[in-house]
Amino acid sequence: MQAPNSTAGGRWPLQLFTIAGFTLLEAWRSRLPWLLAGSLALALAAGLFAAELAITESARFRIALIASGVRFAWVFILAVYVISSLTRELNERGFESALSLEVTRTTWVLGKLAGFISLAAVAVGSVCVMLLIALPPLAALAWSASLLFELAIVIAMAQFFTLSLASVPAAAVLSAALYVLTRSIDALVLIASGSPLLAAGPWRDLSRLGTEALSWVLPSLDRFAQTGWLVDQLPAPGMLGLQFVQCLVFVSLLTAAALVDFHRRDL
Amino acid sequence: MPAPLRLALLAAFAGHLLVHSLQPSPLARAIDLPAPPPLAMMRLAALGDALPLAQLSTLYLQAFDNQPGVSVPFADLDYGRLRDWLSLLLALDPIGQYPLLLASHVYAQVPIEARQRSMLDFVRQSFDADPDRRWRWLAHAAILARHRLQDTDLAIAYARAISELATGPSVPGWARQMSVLLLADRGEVEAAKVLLGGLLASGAVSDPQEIRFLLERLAGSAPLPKPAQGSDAR
Repeated sequence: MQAPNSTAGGRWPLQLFTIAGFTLLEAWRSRLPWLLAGSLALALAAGLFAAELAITESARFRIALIASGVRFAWVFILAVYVISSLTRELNERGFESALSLEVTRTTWVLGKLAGFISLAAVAVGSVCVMLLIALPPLAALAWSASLLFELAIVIAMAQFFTLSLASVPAAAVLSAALYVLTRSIDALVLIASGSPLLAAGPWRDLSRLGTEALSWVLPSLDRFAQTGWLVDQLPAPGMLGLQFVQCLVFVSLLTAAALVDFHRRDL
Repeated sequence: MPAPLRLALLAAFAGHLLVHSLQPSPLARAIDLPAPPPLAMMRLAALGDALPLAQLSTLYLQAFDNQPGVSVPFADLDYGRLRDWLSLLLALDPIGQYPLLLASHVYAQVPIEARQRSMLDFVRQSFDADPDRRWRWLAHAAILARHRLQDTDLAIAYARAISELATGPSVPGWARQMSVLLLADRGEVEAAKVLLGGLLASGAVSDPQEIRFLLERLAGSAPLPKPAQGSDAR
């Protein structure tokens, strides 16, 4: 059964914001902010402990390890949350109630995406405020913005795999694999093109072409939210703008792919 | 809770304690420093952000002499592998100075000349890649060469490298002057004058107080070239 494909006039922005709002409310009620805060506290403790072990550059140690720990923890937590939340809603048929109220599938998917990204924005904003206390403003703002772009891409990945596969383990494994691949694609390209262990020949050329083709398709998440921006030097001019465009394009691509799959689903 | 379930729980816990008591006690056994992974593999494992991995690896290396139940003397470490590890850490984090501190202030303290020279040589080779940041480790290496190894030639070579390559504004005058002072200490006043003349001509030393101090140390009488025009006093 498919709800009437009606945009109900100009009500879709209100519908989108309503769905996003309920997504945030659901996250609050499921105590996700406490989990994010707890992981931040753990990263802080680990960074402080490691800094105590260092005999020099302890401030550099502390900041880099805390930032890196927060980034990986929040990528994991948000991806798992998006997958579990969407899977539960698909299994409990909660979205069918929305569709029966003349909310289109597109509006529902975009509303959920907006809600999840807003959740990431609130979390990153709180970290940014803490960073601004201890670090130069430009460094804190640049790193925080780039982290938000990275989390937005991860959320879009998780949403795409969940709506396409409707299976928590499959979506989790594929999201993790794609995340690791996007963070290591540049290193893989360098290895494939310059490894002396691979004898020159068709296999080496094939591996090089394959990794280069992948690098064209995937965003280079290894350049996002570099901890060096917080402790050494700011990103190159234009880097943030490029990352914003990359985020916009890749999130749009993943969302469009998710919508294609979601529109084909029989309800 | 049913009584059989309670008994089963207690029996399982008792069985676990029994199995643990039958296991041999752990033995403290020192392990050798392993060879470092290839740089490409480390970059891959870092998932694009090498700095935190470099820092954690540095802590691993630093703490390697303190293994569970065993303390490994530095003299027992494989200094070839140690040098490979330090090179790897610098490659992962070129801006960080931690590996050079470890090399010059920690691992060079071992009272074995060959190992001390190995660490000093590592500092010297690393200096060339970033002289303006790494000059102070080479300066410390020059001091170690002069006073621990009693090798003034090596100390002068290190000090000359600082004078010639570390020309950034953050490099203090005393570091650039080390070679002059070492030559003067060895009685090679003429060579010291030539070196000082070179520093003056290039504008590396231009502060009048600094020049007066060096001249007093040399206590020479031969005329020296004037400082380079347009150089600012530091």
